Amino acid sequence: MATMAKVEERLAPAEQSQLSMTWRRFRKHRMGLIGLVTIILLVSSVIVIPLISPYGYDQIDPLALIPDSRLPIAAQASTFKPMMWTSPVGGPTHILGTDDVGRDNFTRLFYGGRISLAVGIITTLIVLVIGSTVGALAGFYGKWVDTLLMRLVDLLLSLPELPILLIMSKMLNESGVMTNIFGRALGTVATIVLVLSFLGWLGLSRLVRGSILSLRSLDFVEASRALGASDRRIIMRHLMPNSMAPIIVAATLAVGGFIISESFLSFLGLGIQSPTPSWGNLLQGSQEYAAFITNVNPFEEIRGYLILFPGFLILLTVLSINFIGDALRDALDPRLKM
Amino acid sequence: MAIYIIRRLIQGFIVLVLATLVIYTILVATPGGPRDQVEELKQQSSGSRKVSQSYVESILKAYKLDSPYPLNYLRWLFDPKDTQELNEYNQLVQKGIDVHIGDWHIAGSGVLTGNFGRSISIAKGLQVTDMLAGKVGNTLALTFSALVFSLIVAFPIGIISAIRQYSKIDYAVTAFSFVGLSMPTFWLGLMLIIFLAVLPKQLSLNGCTWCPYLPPGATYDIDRDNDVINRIYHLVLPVVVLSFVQVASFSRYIRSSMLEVLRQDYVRTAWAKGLSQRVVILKHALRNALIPVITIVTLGLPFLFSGAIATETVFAYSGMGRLFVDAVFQIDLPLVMTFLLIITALIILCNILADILYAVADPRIRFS
Repeated sequence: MATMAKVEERLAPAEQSQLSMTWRRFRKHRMGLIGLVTIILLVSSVIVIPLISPYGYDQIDPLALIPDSRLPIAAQASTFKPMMWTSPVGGPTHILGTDDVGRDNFTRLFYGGRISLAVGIITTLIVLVIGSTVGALAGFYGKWVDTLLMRLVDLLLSLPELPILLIMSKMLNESGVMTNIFGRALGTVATIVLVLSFLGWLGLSRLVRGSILSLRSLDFVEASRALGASDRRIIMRHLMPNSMAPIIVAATLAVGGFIISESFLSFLGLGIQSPTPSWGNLLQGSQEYAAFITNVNPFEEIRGYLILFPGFLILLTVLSINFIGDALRDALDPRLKM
Repeated sequence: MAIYIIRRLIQGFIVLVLATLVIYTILVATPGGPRDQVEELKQQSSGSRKVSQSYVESILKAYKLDSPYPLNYLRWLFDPKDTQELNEYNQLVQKGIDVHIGDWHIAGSGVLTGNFGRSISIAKGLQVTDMLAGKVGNTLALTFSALVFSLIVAFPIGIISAIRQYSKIDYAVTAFSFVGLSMPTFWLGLMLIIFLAVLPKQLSLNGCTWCPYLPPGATYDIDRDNDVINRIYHLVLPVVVLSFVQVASFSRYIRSSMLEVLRQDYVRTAWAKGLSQRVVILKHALRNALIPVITIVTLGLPFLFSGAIATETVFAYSGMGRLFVDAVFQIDLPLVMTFLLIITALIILCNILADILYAVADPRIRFS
C-alpha cells in the first residue's frame, strides 16, 4: 500500500500555484523579461545611490565653483564642469560633471530617478484604490449607484487631462499649501501625486466595473451569497481576486504614463521644483543649453549630455514598463492557458 | 438617423454645461486660484506696496467671486446686471446681449452669450476669444499636417505588418510602436533640435555646406517672406515629433484591426474566388478594417490640440497650446478657462461624431 501511494503521488501532476504558472508564461516573453531586468537594475541603482555617491543631491561642491585652468578658456570660470572632472586639489570625481550651481550631475540623475519612479508608483497605488473602489461599487450594486458613478466618470473623461494637470499644479505650487504640509523637499512631489491621481483613476474604474459586472451573476457568487457572505466579503474575497488580471496589466502600464506626465510637468517647471531633482526637471532649461552648444560635438561640449541622459532614462523606464505590461497580459490571460 | 443625431447633440450640450460646472469649480476652488490671488493682493496693498484696486476688481468680476458658490457659477454663465466692461484701452464698452422681445427686455452677459472675458495678465484687456482665434490657424496647420502625414505613414506600415504577421518587418514595427508609445515627446523634440538644427548649423559654420539644417523653432523666419515654403520649412520638425507618437499608435490599431478582418470567412471566400492579393487586401479586408480605425482617429482629434502643447512649447511654435502654457504660467484664468472649454466641447463633439461615422461606415449598425 505504501508503494502504491508513492507511485500515485509520482504520477499526479505537480501542483502548480497560480503564481508559478504565471511566471512560467511570463518567462517566455523575451522582451518582458529584458524589461523586468532593466527595471530591477534601475530601481536598485536609485535605491543604492546614497551609498555609492560621495555627494548629496542638493550639495554644492565648493571645488566646482573655483575656475579650473586645465579647461578651455571659455569654460574655465563656468560652474558647469565636464564629464569625469576631478578638482585639481583632489576629491571624488564628478562622473557626469556638475550643473549650473556646482552640484554633482550623476548623483542628481539617480536621485531624480528615485523621485520619478516614486511618483509613478505612488500615484498608481492611489489610483488603484480609488478606481477599484468606485468600479467595484458601481459594478456590484448596479442601478442608480452605477448610473451615478459612471455618469460622473463619463463627465470627467470628457475633460482635457493634460491642460487641467498643468493649471492645477501651477495653482497648487503657487499657493504653497502642499509645501506647508509636506515640507519644502516633498511639497511639490505631493502636489504632483495629488494632481495626477485627480483624473488618473477614471479608466481603471471603468475596467473594474466591467469585470465585476461580468462576474457578479456567476454561480460561485450566488453560492457564497447563499452561505451568508456579506457584500464586503463577496467583493473583497471573490470578485476582486477574480478580476485581478486586467487590473494588474492596466496598473503596470499606468506607471509609465504617470512618469511621462510628471516629466513633462517638471520640464515646464510646473511640477517638481529644484533642489529636489526629477528626470523631468533635470531637462528644465535644456532648450537654453541647446542654444549654447558652440562645439561641433555637443557631447564634448559641457552641456549636451545633460539633455541626453534624463530623457533617455525616462524612455528606457517607460519602455521596460510597457514591455512588462505586455508580457503580463500574455501571462495572465486565461484564454492562452490551453 | 436625424432624430438620433439631434438627441445626441442635446445630450452633448447637457454634458458640456455640466463640464463647465466642473471646470469652473476646479479652477475657482483649487488653492492658489483667484480667491487666494485676491486675498494675497489685498494683503499686499494694505502693506507698503499698493496694488491697483482695478486689478483686484477685474479678478473678482471675472469670476463673480462676490457671490457665494453655486450662485457665482450661475452668474458666470449668465449675469443680467453685467453689461459693461473695460477694453484694452481702459474704455467702458457694452458687452453681452440686449434684446427686446415684446414686453421682455433681456440684457446681460456671460459664458452662455459668448462673453468669455478679457485676459487678466498676459495681454490685459484683450478678448480671450480673439487671442485664441489668432492662434487657431497655426495650430491647425501643425496638427492637421501631422495627422495627414501620420495616416499616410501608418496605413502601409499597419497593413504590411498584419499581412506578414510574425515576420521580421512585423517585429520591427511592433518594436517601433513600443518606442513611440514610451517616448516623452518633448525630449524627442529636444533631441531633434540638437541633431537636426544645432549640430548642422555648427557644422555648416565649419564648412559643411550640404548639412541638412532644419529650423528649431518659431512659425516662420522673420527676415524672409512669410510664404508657404518658409512655413513648411518650420513645420518639419514639429510635425515629425507629433507624428512619431501617432504613427506608433495608429499602425498598431490598423495592424490589429486588419488581423481581425483577415481571419473572417468573407476574406477566405475572396481568396477562394481567385481574386488578386491587391483586391482582397485593399477592397475586401481594408475597407472593413477601416471601421474601428475611423473611431480611433475621430476620438483622437481633440487630443491633437492638447497633445500639441508639448510640441508647441519645445519648438516655440506660436499656437494655441503655447498660448495656453503662457496663460498657465501667469495664471491668466479667463484664457485658461476658455481653452479648457473649447477642448472639452471638441471632445464631446468628436465623441458624437465618432458614433455617427461608425454607423455611416458600417451599414450593419442601426440606431433606434
